[in-house]
Parts: sequence; structure tokens; C-alpha cells
Amino acid sequence: MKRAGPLAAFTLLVFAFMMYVAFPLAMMAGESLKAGGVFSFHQYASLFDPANGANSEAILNSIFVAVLSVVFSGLLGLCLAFVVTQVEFPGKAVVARLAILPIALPPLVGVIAFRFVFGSSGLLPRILQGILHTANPVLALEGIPGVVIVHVYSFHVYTYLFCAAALRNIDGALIDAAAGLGSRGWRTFRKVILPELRPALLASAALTCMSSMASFTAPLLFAGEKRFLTLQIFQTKLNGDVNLAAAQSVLLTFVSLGLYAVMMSVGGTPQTARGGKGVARRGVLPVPPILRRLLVGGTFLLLLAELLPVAMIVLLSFVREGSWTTQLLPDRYATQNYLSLLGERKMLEPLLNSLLCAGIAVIGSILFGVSAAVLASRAQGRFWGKAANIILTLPYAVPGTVVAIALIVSFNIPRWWTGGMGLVGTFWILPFAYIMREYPVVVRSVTASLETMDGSLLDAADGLGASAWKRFRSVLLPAIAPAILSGAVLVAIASLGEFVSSIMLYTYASRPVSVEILAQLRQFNIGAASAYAVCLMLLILLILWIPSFLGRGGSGRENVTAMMDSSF
Amino acid sequence: MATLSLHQVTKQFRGRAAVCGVDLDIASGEFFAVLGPSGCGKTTLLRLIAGYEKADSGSIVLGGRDITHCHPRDREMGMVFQNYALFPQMTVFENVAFGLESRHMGDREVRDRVKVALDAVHMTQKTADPVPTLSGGEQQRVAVARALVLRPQVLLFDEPLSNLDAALRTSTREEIKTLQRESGVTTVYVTHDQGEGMTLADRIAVMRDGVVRQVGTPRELYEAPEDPFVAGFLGGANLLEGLLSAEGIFQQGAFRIVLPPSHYRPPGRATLALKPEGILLAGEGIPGSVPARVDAVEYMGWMTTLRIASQGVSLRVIVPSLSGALSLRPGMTIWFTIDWEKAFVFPGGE
Repeated sequence: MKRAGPLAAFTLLVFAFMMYVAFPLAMMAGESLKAGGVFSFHQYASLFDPANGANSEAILNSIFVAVLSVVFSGLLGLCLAFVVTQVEFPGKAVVARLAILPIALPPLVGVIAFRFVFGSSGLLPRILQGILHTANPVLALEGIPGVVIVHVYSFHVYTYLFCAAALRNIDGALIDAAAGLGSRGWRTFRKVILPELRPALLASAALTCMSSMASFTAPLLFAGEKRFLTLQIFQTKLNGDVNLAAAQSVLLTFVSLGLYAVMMSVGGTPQTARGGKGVARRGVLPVPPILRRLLVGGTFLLLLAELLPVAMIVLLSFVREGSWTTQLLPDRYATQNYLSLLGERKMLEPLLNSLLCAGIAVIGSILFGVSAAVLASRAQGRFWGKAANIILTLPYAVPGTVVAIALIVSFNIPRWWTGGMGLVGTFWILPFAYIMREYPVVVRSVTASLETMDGSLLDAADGLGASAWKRFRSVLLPAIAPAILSGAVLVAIASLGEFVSSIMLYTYASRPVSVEILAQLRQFNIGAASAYAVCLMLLILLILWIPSFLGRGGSGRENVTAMMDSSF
Repeated sequence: MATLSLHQVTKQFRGRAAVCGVDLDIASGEFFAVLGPSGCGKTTLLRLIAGYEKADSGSIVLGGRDITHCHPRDREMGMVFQNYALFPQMTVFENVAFGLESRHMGDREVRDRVKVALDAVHMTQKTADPVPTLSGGEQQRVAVARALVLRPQVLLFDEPLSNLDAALRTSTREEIKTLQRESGVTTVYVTHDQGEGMTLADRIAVMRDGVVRQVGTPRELYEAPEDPFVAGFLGGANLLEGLLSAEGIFQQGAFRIVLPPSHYRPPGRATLALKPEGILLAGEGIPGSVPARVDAVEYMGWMTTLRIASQGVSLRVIVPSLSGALSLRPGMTIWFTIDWEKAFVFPGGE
């Protein structure tokens, strides 16, 4: 009888995972093996058929952009991490905080903001056009270079966070030892520091590659005529060829899962733990003054490039609709966009939809994620524990486009485990997709917390005669509460700005704010689109500060960094 | 090998003195230990000698050369860190060769010198092993080899045994002593373990709060401590702070004892240091004996530690585990006398 509770929970969990996570992915794989309703490898054959140029081009472009994104994001992130951890300069603390801005921005908002400044009709190319008196904007970002630069803008933060954490953890004695043994700066960096950063570099490279392959928004807004795998899935689905879209999705899923496996296996921490007594000393490599000035100058330039798009979007949120045509900057501003956004029910609806969906996603992810992590932790250290953890967090590696296709092929008809309802075309499909994409974040966060928890606490409670529920409520829950909060914050942020799955699953009544931003942009309502984006950013900022407000942590940056660490 | 001298070396961190006006003269080939509790500034002193910290004032001279402002690589010193600081991604050979390669030595010379260094620490059989696969003791040996391979003028150790278990600590301690004796290299060894300092060092500097309180041979420090802290730290002496009268009577509260003339000091505040082995069990009624109650008895093999209370003071006593001591039980009354050779009176408080 004592085991009945956990057994029931375990059964329920397995059922939920099989029916709501595994089933859609299996259905998608099944659809990819059909042509004309019968079993066939036709879709895969056409996917790799050189004669079918569109698919090959999409695959090659995605891979090419992923490779460039990894290289340049890695270099930029490493330089930034090096400057922030190894060089002293005024304003360093502010730089360290602002450096994470690109990942705190919802993908769509970041890309749009970037386009306002660096796109073909953006501020900087038009300023250059005015200065140089050319016919077209100068250095406007578009096509593949545009996508790569947007990716580098967003994804270098992964390398920055991973490498900065690793650099902070490097034992200062190693650098002292190298210096004492006669090694100079560059040799010490190459021989001592870089090998220590290897896991962080590999993990961030895999994450960057995964994110680049799954990237949808940057190609959508910058690629122009160029084809990408995610866009191709979207287009194929729009054309009604579900089987080919499923095959394309399966291919993308395998690439992502492979990269996820690399990321998980190498981890992000350096090989050495700090040893010794007292306060651990951070290793600081002496940097020649010229290089130091160069690095600090470059960092401030980068920061400017990161802040400018955000400043631009805030400015544009006040533009009077229809007043910005050929001028470099709008000349008429008003609060009209915000007033109509907050005052008109139709305008407010997308924000409310996003808030509602994010709220449901947070609750669902916590319920499923926490129970999954706690149950998996019962087999901690054993094969089954590890296997359960890997399987449970796999959906994290599934791109948003793929999640959407999987849900479309699975729940376009009523299923008994969805209450006899076909979810596609209803409001519920959005929070459902968000939960499927984001609950692994809660699993990872809570698992990390459980792994560091002192097991003897539960033993003590057990020995003192506490019931299973009392052990959970009085011992376990307080210990993992900060991890749950961190996970919940991350789920809320990701769900609020979610765009990739939403664009394929929304209905007009349930349209989330990200989809509405794109719709407003397509109608050239730049002010309204920007006002939505600013509201979204403010909401995210508010959510990021919840943990420190509740006294669960320090600054927003620390929360994001901690969440990144626990999530990846 | 060379002599090492420190003159008025001072180092502050955020306005707090970590090392304060330290003067030391370490002879060529000497094994010199710096001993003190955690936070006393001994590691900072070692890092100042190695060049990892810059002195705020004072000078450091090695073999007649002022090295105060030299980079660590130009000081001709080898350091063994507390956690060894071995490069984890390299093999044993690569770690030991690192310093030689940094000095652009030829492959053949590197190979030969690494072999000699690893031979000295009995690690030649593990040359190709990755560092993380080594045990703590083996890592410690590789760290010593890495420091020795550069043939330094001075070898610096920062609590190198603190990460080893008790048995390994003893054997490694003997190995370090043998290695130092054979190589004859001037050695500065930082530790908080008085046993380590006493057994290894030719001379010891005892530090507290950034200040060197006394320098001397282990025996000098033990038998003739110059201040209450040294007496307490090295010999575990019972320290009683009280008043000394002109008649040679020391009093702390109800505790009152008559000092022999050899221990007279100017009247006023004074600290009486009684070594635990200098408190001798005596029979009742023996002249000068004092009664006490046994509070605790700890049997420790050849010796027994007692905690006794006499006239309001608590004293630690070490006696041989003879039949008399073995029959003692908490609550019993005993009588004791003082071996004044093992008792010291210091004017002023501790």
C-alpha cells in the first residue's frame, strides 16, 4: 500500500508522456513514411533528390548558416567572456548585465528590432546611403549574411555565458603555476585556459548549431528568396503536403537531437574544480595594454550594436501611424499606439491571449516537469534514472516548427485523451505546444536542484515518521522551490514571446502577441508592432525580476545565467 | 642555492594588513617553515616571495639580487600549490615539461630533465598518464617534480599535504624531507600543522595577524617561546591571564599559585603558560601540590589527556598512560604540581 501513491503517479506520468509527447512525434514520423496513404520512403527520396532543388538548397543553406553562426558566435562570445572576466574596466558590471540582452528578447522582437536598424530599410544603411549619396541603402543586411549576423547577434550569448562561467571557475593557481613556470600570456591562454574552456565551447557550439538549424524568424524576415529547412517545412505545410512536411521535420529533428546529445555529453564546466582553502582566487591572465584597449573598445561597440535595436523599437513604438515614410527617422510621435493597444479590446486581445497561454504553460510545465523530475530522481545514479532524464528532456531539442507539425498531424482529429476534441483549430493547441516545448526546462532545473540536495534530509524525515506527502511538502518542496521558480520564469518568458510554433497553430481568436506583431508589420503599422514588442519586453523584464523580488536570487542577470546553467 | 631575505615586507588587502613588516633571513639550503593558524597571512607571504602578489613596501632579496619587482618566471623559484595546480588536460610528462618548453629548451634536454625529475619523485612509471587518473599522493609528487625540474634556487610549498589522508601525509612528509636534503634546495614551507612544521623544518617562523611572532629552531620555539601565542600554538600550553604580585604570586580569580624566583616578572598583568605535560600528578600533601577535580579523561595510547578543574580554572594535562593515570575517572580529586621548566610567564596579556 505504501508504494501505491508513487506507482499511480508513475503510471500517470508515463501515460501523459506517451500520449502527449511521444505520440505526436511518432505520428509525425509515421506520416513521413506515407505517400498517397500507403507506406513509402518516397518523401525521404524526394528530400535528398538532387533534382528537387528546393529541398537540397534548404538543407544546404541551413547547414551553411549553422556553421557560420557557430564560428562567429563562438568567436564573439569567447571574446566577450574573456573581456568580462579577465579585464578590469569602468562600467564592467553594466556590460556584464547588458550582454545577455539578445537572449532576453523574444526571437521575433529581436529580429524585428535588428531589421529596423540594420535591414534594407533600416536606420544605419539609410544614414550611410545619405552620406555616400548612393542609389540604395549601404551595408543593408539581407540574404544569408543577414541571417548569419542576426544569429550571431542572438546566439553569441550562449558562448558568452558558458565561457564566462567556465573562466570564472578556472582555478587561479593554474594561471599562477603557468606564469611561475615561465609561460607568457598567449601560451598560457592556448595551453592552460583554452583546454579548460573546451567543454563550454563545445556545449555552446552545439547549442548554437541547434538553435541555428531550428531558427525560423531570422530566415523569415531576412532570407528573402533563399530557402531554409524550417521555412521549407512551413511552406510545404501551407501547400498542403503534410507527408513531405513531416519528412522534413523528422530530418530536422534528427539533426537537432544529435546536436543536443553532443551538448549534453560535453557539459559546460571546466575539468578543474577550485581547490585550496579560504576564498577561491579567480584566475586572471595579464593582458597587454593595447589588446586590452582593443577588447574593451570592441565590447562597447558590440554593446552599442545590441542596444541600438532596442532603443529603435522603443522610439518607433511612439511613431504616429502612417507618418514614417521616406524620412530617416519619424518626425511625429504620440502615445496613440499604447493608448489603442491598452484601450481597444481587439488590440489588447493578443496580449491577453499570450498571457493566458503562458500562464497555462507555466502551470502545465510545473505540474508535469516537477513530478517527472522527482520521480526520475528516485532512480538517481542508476541507469534508469539517467535514461528517464534524457528521454524526458529530449523535446527540448525538438524545433518549434517540428512540434507544430507533430501536433497538427496528431490532433487534427478528436482523440479520447484530449477529451474527445480535435485540438487543432482551438485555443488549447497553443498552450499545449508551449508545454511540450518548455516543460523540459523545469525538468532540468529541478533535477539539477535534486542532484545537489542532501539526501539525508529525506532519510531523516523518513526516520522521524513523516508521511510521503509531508516529506514532499516540508522537506523536498522547500529545497526545490527556487529551481521550480527559475524554471517557471524561463517557461513564462519563452511562452510569452513564442512565435515559431504559434505561427503554424494559431487561430484568429487565439492569436498571440508575436503573431500579431508580424501581422501589424505586414500592414506597415510599425508603431503598433513596436508598441506590442515594447509591452512584451516590459513583461519579460518584470518576470525576470520576480525571483529577486521574492528573495530567491540576485539580479536578473544572475537569474538568467543560473537558468541557462540549469537548463542546458 | 641561495639565501633569501625579506626586509619589512608589507601587503594590504582592502586596507587590511595581510602581511605586516616581515623581516626574514633564510639561509642557503635551509628548510624553513612558516607556521600559523588560518588567515594569519602565511600564504600571502609565500605568494609575495613567489611574485604572485606585489608587496606594498619592503624588499625581497634572493642571493644578493633584489627580486621585489620581478615577474614570477624570473625569480628562479618553484612552487608547489596546495591543490597542486596540475594542468588537467595534460599528461604527467607534459605537466613537468611545461616550464622547460616555455623556456624553449630542446626536445632532448626536456626529455632528459623530465626523466630526472620524475625519477626523483618515483613517478617514471606514470609518465604518460593523464593527470586526473592519478591519486592525490601521485599528483603531489608530479607537482614537486614540475617545480624541481627548473632547478629553482628556492622551492616553495603551500600546505602541500593538506589534501592527503593521514597515513599518506606522514609518508609524503618523509619523502619531501629526503628530497630536500638530497637536492639541498632552499625551501620555504607554509603550513598550519605544527607537527609538520616541527618535523620538517630546520627553522620555523610563527605568524599571527600578518606579523612574525618568533623565528627559531623547533626546539627553541617549543622550549623557549617568546610570547603567549607561540607557547599556545606550538605546545598547546594552557594560557592563564591574571595579575602578578611583587611577591611572585600569580592570581586569576580564585586560582592562586606561587612562582619560583626564576619566573618573577615585573608586577602587573601577566600571562602564565603551562604546558600540558608540565602539569605533574602528585600525591596528596606533597609541598606545593594543588588539588583539582578530574572533568574528562581521554585515553590516547601511550599518553592520556586529562581535563581538570582547579580553583575555577580549567587545565589540559598530558600524562603517560601508566597505571595511576589509567585508574582516573571523571569526578575524582587529584593533586598536581608544576614543572617550572615547562611553564612560562609573559608580562602583559596575550
